[in-house]
Amino acid sequence: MSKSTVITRDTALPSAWRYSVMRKVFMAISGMVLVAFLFGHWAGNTVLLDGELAFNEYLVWLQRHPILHYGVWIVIAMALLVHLAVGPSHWLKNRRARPERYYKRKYRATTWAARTMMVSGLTLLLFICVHVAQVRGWLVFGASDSVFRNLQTGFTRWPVTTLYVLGQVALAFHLYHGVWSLFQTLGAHHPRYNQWRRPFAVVVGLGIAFLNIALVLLNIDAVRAVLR
Amino acid sequence: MNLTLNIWRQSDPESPGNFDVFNVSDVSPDMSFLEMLDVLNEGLIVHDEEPVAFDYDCREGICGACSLVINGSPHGPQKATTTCQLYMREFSDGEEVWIEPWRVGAFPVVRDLVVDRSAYDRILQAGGFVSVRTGAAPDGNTIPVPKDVADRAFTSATCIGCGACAAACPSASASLFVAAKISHLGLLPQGQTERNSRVRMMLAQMDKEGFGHCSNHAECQSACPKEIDIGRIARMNRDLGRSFIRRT
Ligand code: HEM
Ligand code: FES
Repeated sequence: MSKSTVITRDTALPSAWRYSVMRKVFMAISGMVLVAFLFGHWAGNTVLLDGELAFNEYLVWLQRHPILHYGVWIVIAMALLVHLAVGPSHWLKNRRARPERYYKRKYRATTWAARTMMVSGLTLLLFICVHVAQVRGWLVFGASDSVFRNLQTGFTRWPVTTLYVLGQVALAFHLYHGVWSLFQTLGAHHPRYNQWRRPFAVVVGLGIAFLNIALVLLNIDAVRAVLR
Repeated sequence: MNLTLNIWRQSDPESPGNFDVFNVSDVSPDMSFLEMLDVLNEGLIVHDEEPVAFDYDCREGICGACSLVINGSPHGPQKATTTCQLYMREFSDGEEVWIEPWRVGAFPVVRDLVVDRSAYDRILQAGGFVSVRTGAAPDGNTIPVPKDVADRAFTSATCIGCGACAAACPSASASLFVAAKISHLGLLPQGQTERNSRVRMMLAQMDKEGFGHCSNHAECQSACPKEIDIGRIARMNRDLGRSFIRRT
């Protein structure tokens, strides 16, 4: 048995990243940034409903505001990087922290969503990659310069649509735990407000997933025809 | 009553373990869980067999020595109860009972159901103390401490360091223990001087011992025999963040 030694000097002042608790705090902040982006992303994309011309104008407008365009790109990329630097490595360490599993195990508090954060996270990652590829036209045959048309041709293919829906379901589960959890991570735990954290997480998670799926459905001509 | 016990046996830290099955009869519902194991062990000794090793000391729920994961729950099925305070009336006749040690990498199995919890001691040694001289006991109310703060410090101080939090945690994290100790000292005036270094050093030691990282499953607070809540962990996180911003 190798005995660990006791730390006797507080030397770690400059490097917050060395503390698992701080890394988790950074992950919570990056998660918050990503959630905020998702709402903005959805709001911008409602222009899709006004047709290809209006959507292209929106894209031109975005490009004319490089701070917005590239600023958002950089912030999102950084948030994802931080998130990916912490989530999977912590997950791996947590597995190693219990080399021999329990033969009988009874959970009293945790949720299914909390225990599958890595699964929902990886599904999200796959979804994000395919989604970017679809928009940029890397994915579908006959891709064009038009983001609008790339989206539409993409959704005529069932694997793309299936992954889209799967991605949204994963998002709802990821945020069911994630949004509840980030308050705790950031130290916002108060007997008066704790009861609202779960409903809030459900509304945010299901909310984004629902809004995204609705937007895609409304873009399908057949669905619009039925609604009309 | 009669019970079938599946008990984890492991001769030393390196050997693989396995479950041994024992049938115990005439168990009185008024026995404690440990007394039931004592009776089992007496029988084993009479038959020249190796008794089951398990930890205990006070047997009154205050020392934190007893452990055991019983039917998948650290300290067994009853809330706010240590294994030594668990009585056989919580079980039913003919029941099959599974008994395992704390399964945490940082708590290596010594033998059978006994684990080495010195990792917690080392976390305490890293910063779980007040080293400034505070003199003799001051007169009451010379240093006012608001009642709710004193209460929170006190509930945190009820932690007996048994390790059930890490045993229950799906990530095998020691966060609830560390957080309880940090709140216990950090909420009171004597604890302020070393507040920053305490949270940093205890957490650095926690990471060093190889515990997992808190993922907010909240299993720890349901397993804690003293019902210490995860609000302590939130406070610990605040304290660590604060230590990077404020001097004291
Ligand atoms: C749009 C994308 C994403 C959003 C909005 C998001 C959001 C969040 C939030 C809010 C948390 C909670 C943080 C906390 O408890 O403090 C979280 C945790 C987590 N995320 Fe994500 N996430 C995203 C993508 C990903 C991806 C791509 C992965 C992995 C490949 C991932 C893996 C994880 C893991 C493993 C945790 C839990 C870690 C733990 O509890 O210790 N996430 N996420
Ligand atoms: S033996 Fe002391 S708490 Fe159980």
